[in-house]
Amino acid sequence: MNKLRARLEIITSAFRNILSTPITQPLATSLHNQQVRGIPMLDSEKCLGCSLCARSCPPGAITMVPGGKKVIAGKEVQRNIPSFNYYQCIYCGLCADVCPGKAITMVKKQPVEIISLSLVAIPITDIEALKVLFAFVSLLFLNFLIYWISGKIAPKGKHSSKAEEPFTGGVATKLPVYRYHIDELYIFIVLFTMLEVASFILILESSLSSTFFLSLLFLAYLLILTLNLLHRGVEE
Amino acid sequence: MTSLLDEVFTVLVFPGFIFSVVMAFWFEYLERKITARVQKRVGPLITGPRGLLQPFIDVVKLLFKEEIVPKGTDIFAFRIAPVLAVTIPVFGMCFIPIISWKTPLSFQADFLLVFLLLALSLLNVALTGYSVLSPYTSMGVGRLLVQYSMYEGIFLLSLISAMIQTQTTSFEGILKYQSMKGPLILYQPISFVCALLALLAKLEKRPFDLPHAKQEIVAGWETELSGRGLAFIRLYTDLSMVWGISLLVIVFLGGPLGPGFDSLMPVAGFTWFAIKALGLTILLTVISASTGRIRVYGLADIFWERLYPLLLVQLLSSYFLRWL
Repeated sequence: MNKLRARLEIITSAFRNILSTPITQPLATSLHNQQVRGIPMLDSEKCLGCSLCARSCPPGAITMVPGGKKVIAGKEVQRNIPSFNYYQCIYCGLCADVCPGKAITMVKKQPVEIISLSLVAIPITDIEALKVLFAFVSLLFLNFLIYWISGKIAPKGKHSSKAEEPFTGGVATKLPVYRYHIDELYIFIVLFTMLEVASFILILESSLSSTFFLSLLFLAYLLILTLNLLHRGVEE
Repeated sequence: MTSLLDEVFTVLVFPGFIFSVVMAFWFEYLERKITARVQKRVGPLITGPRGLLQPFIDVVKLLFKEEIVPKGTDIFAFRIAPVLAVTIPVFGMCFIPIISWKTPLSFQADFLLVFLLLALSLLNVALTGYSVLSPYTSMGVGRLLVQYSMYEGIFLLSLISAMIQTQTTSFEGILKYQSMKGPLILYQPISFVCALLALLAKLEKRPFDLPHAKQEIVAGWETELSGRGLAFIRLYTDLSMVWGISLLVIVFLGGPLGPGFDSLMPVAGFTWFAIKALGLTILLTVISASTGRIRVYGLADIFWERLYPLLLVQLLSSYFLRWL
């Protein structure tokens, strides 16, 4: 009798669960309600450098790194600001609660955006960027000037139409697609692009050992792929 | 105001336009002279003292010659690609600290800019080739792209192994590291050799001169150029030689560092840099003058089969060399 009642309870609760709303939700849909706390983000202008957040962090995902200066009793001293390791973070929000200057806020973001945040940001200011841009544009202008002036000075003769044909003695009037269409070549280029991506991750993530070794492993895997490709090419 | 003047001086005179163009002529002269000696010739002799002005005269002569635009040319790419190609190595030279720790243009991540510029310069060369689509140019650009996908990874990874050991993203940081612990070639001989070979391939020097192989495809991607376009592209090859050699000197040989660098900053720095660059140029030229061209499969053998596994070992070891 007891057994029967237990089974009946299971069945009724199963039906009730089917009709009710689920407890868990996909992260993307719950970004706009109160069920997700978000990820901690730092406003380094407001940060006092007290390192309370690093002490309160349960998994120890916050390390204090030097950044900027602060004034104590009229003297400028080195200030430490928190840097988050988003792989260790459990997104509890304690650091935001404990922060006296309200410098840490919980911002709601997609998981993909969090991964991109964990890469090292390249510090470059607007003035530096302007300088670099100015240098490039002025060099380009100078080169164009030389190119233009030499074009003006150079003599221009009259030629028969033969002179203006390419070296091979002419091209087809409608250019056919006789470029190199080799599948292996395109695979090579894709592999090379993957190599570039992996090497950039190597640079930007070099402080984190697990990602570092993962990208090294990926590079080794690329090597095996390419060697296979090469040997197939030689055999054919 | 003074900072702006500094910057203009950096861009136009030192180590920007004028300096790098003069260095380009000097390196081309050296290259031609040494190659000639290896082949039992005399090399440039008439123009200037011992033929010193020959590369300069060559470029000026080409600049003031008539440019013939072939039929069926993409005129926009034909005009803009050589100009952009010359701009990029000069722009890269602006960030290279030749006489001091940094130049007025340097910023925190200027070493990362190198990777972008390397890819951009190849794009321009490929555009130049493809602007006139004749069989020789398309074959040359095809070979160029194959070669690029092989040497570029090696070059990048060898520079990256230096970055991993020094843990910086700027030239200044790399120099500071080397001033404390000695030049990086002592720790990473493998990546230096790899970078040297990749540089040979990037500059299309002898063992790797497939993209413009003279006896096979006329002049490869340069075939249809003439007049000012040809002058600019020839200047580009010399300039990228200057830039590449300066990169290797800074990253692996310690750049301007040497005895007396701290006390006699500009003079001693420049002297050390010049001596190291000269040595590297002579080494590169002797290698390229005494070897024959390889086939495309040989290229893959060297870069992917031999150098790439070695570099992986070097990358792993450079991670542990941090705690040295």
